[in-house]
Amino acid sequence: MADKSGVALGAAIKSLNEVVLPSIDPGNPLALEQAKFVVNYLTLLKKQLPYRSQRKYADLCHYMRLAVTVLGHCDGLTTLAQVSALSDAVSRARAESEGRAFMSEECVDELVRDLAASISDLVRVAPSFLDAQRRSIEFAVLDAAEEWLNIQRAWFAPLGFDSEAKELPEISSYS
Amino acid sequence: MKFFDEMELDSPSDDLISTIRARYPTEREMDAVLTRKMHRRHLPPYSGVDLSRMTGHLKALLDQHIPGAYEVSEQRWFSGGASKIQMGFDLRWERPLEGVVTTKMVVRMEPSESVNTTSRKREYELLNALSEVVPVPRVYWVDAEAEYFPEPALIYEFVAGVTKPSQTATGKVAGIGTNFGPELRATLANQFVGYLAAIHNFDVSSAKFDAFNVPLVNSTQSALWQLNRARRIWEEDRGEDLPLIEVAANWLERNMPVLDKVCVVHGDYRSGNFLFDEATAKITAILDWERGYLGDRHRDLAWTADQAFGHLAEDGTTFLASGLVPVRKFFDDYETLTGMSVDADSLRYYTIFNSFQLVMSAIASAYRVVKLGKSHQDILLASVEPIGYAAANKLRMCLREVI
Repeated sequence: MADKSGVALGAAIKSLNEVVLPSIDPGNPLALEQAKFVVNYLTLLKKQLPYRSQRKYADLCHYMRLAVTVLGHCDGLTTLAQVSALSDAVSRARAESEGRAFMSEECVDELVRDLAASISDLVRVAPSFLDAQRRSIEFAVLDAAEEWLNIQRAWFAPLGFDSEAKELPEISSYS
Repeated sequence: MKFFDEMELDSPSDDLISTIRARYPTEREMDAVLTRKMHRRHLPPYSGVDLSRMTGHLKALLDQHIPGAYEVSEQRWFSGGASKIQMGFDLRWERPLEGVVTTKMVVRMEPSESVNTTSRKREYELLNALSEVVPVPRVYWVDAEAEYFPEPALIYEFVAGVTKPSQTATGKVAGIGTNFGPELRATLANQFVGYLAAIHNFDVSSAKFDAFNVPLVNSTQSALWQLNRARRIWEEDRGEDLPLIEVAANWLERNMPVLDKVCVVHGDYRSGNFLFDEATAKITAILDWERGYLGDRHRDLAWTADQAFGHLAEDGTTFLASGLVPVRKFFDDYETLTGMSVDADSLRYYTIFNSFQLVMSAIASAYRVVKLGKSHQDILLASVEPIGYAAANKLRMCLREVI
């Protein structure tokens, strides 16, 4: 069955613009302001909904790559609880994703949360590592964050609150 | 290993609240308001309060403070703000030493949970203290413990003016990024910088600041309190882990600047937070003191000049701090007016800290408030998420240069 969410969102936007907004009492500026925000957000969703799964998979790929990179800077730390936890998170993500044509969004979200949490936990204790090791891990995080943030900014660019996001590629180009 | 439990953050246990408090000690009053937030988080979503109910709460307070007869009229909601509920009204009353007058006033109240959890008591003390120094709304009463209103509230005099030119389409959210135009900009800029200088030159020992802790000079205490407050908010509000935030927190902790002078810090000094008269271009009030504290002036300087709040001038290359004044001129004029230097390292620290804090507000706090339906502006808060990612990108670029 074809998904028609985009069509329905278009109908909702049309209804708000043509019927609801003109009916709002001009003496209620809060209601007017919020109705416009609703239209803007629904318009964003209508435009970006086709790329929602793409964005989630991009998240998973980002955290997998970052996790592997960070683990690569953990020489001599394999017995540390945070390093073990991150290794386990990577193993779980590989086991869930390899050889499967499809993963549910819930599964992807869970794996992303696990990886992000484990990487963050390790970065928190990185100040106790040798300075060079800490810097390598932190640089890895910063470098990986660039594309991840570009994806988030591209997703929200149609809202117009990030003036520089319009220079980024459209969300459809990220994979 | 789970780093945090999403469901527990929606309805935190006393143990979790205590653990986070102990891990990130901050100022006494900030601890109180953040702890209150967490204890009330399990309560139902904010369902709105209509003008009639709001008037009932107002009258309950006025009955305690006005001995004679009074009349409340012209109640109306204000829009434009993201974090506080504001109702305007006219009060006809016998004003001490003046007789019967009609005063235009505003009730400013927290929603059930705000994107900025702050103290009305502190706001009240700051407005009182600065009333003879810079133009601020005259504050009348504070309901700090929500005795009369459903949430803590402040009542102050309405001040006429606008936050942005009536003909501009810029400054859509809370006046951020307003373009004043070259003519108006020139007139406003001198006042804007002058008032900030006056705020920072204010003698904090001359005022009653019971709701504030005074940080030690020649120590990193001020920076640590602010960092701990922000980290605590991240722990309490976030819906995801971001390794970038941990990198930032690590850097901030090992680079805290030493405080040279305790100043009143406005905390949100920028376009959108002052009113001006369009006909005369005179600033009529500095608003939104809720983020104010006693500490390092560089926090304000970095905030006012932040890329998030300004824009390029007509030449396409000169960045205007808060859309008003070129950044270098801003700092130069400030130094001249205050006699205090702008320290490059402290400025860099607070530039990074401010981006860190913006991520907290736009990605963590906004997420939790919207998810739980806790504010009167949920859809606006849902829409500001991209501001958090833009701030995170700036954070990333700054950290890349300093780590």
